[in-house]
Amino acid sequence: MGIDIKNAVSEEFSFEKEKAVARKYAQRFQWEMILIGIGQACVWLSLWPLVMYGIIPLWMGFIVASFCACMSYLPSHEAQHGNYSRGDPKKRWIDALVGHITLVTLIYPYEILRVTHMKHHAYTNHDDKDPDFLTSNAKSAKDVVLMSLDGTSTDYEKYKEIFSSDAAFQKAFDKGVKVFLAYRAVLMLVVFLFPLQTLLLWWLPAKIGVVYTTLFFSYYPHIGTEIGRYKNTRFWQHWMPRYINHSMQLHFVHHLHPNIGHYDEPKAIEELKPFLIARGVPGAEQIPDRITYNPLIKI
Amino acid sequence: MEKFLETILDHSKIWFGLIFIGSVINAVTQEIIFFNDVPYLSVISFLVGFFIGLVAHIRGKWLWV
Repeated sequence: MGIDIKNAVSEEFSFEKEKAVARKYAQRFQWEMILIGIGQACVWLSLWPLVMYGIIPLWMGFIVASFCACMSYLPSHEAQHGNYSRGDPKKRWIDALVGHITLVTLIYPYEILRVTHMKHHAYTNHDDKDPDFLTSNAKSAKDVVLMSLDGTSTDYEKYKEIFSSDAAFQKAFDKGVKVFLAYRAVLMLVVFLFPLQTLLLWWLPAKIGVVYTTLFFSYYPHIGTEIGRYKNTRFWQHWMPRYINHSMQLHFVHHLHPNIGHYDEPKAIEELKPFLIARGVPGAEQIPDRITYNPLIKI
Repeated sequence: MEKFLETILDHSKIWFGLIFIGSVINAVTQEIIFFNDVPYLSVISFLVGFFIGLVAHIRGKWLWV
């Protein structure tokens, strides 16, 4: 990694200067992400009484729940990187709170996603150590959809063995397993009592959310990329307006500087563009000079 | 206790099939008039769920990925 960073690039685009630019965008308190995380979980929870009492039909509840599930991962993702507390131990509870609550919609434990995601950053595109390797290096989007529906994309059990010597990983993973079992128990109880509501307000929306998240967070940003800090994620374009796919065309900057807040990434990229071109980030030449609402649509 | 939990988890697909899929099939068939006269509808529904879970358990996965 060290050799990669110091690779023949002029002093003008040094790693230190790149880091200084990135640091400017890694300071702000991300209130909007907290609002989305806690907000979507509250909306999702409110769907249950609304549907049970016939205030809204089940199909409408399903649509809203699916939307909530698609919105639920990103706030947890920021928490996984400690981007709410920003290194302040007194604020770490915000990371945990948002991280756990927002993932209720996806029926997945925060601690497992947190530790496996850290390993994804550390070993991006390593076939044996990257927990996202199967999906980020899948042959097609169809394969990603099938793996997500099948549960393969979130089957992180084998990584417990791979990182058996990492005590912190083991501790967090075991904590996550307990939450996972609790989720399963609640799901089984609720489906027995309210089968169709559980299917259409929780399980199916969660599946849709996992498919969406895996496609846009894991698959598209890593297609055709290699191992290496500046090579493992790419700039890409898509027919969808970027606010529909969580601006994941810009995911490469997150891999370079994970502490930049999600909504500050466009500004950071504008300033970092010359650095990214100098470093040869895949697709960097196509980054627009100014990133507005939808400049990333492929026409 | 741990052993008991492990045994349950080793057969998680079967449990999921029996409880989750069984409950959903049961609820759906109750809504369809065509099935109204079928005897033991609930038992059949849960058995179908159990069978789906059993097949997934033997195959080791739910879908044909």
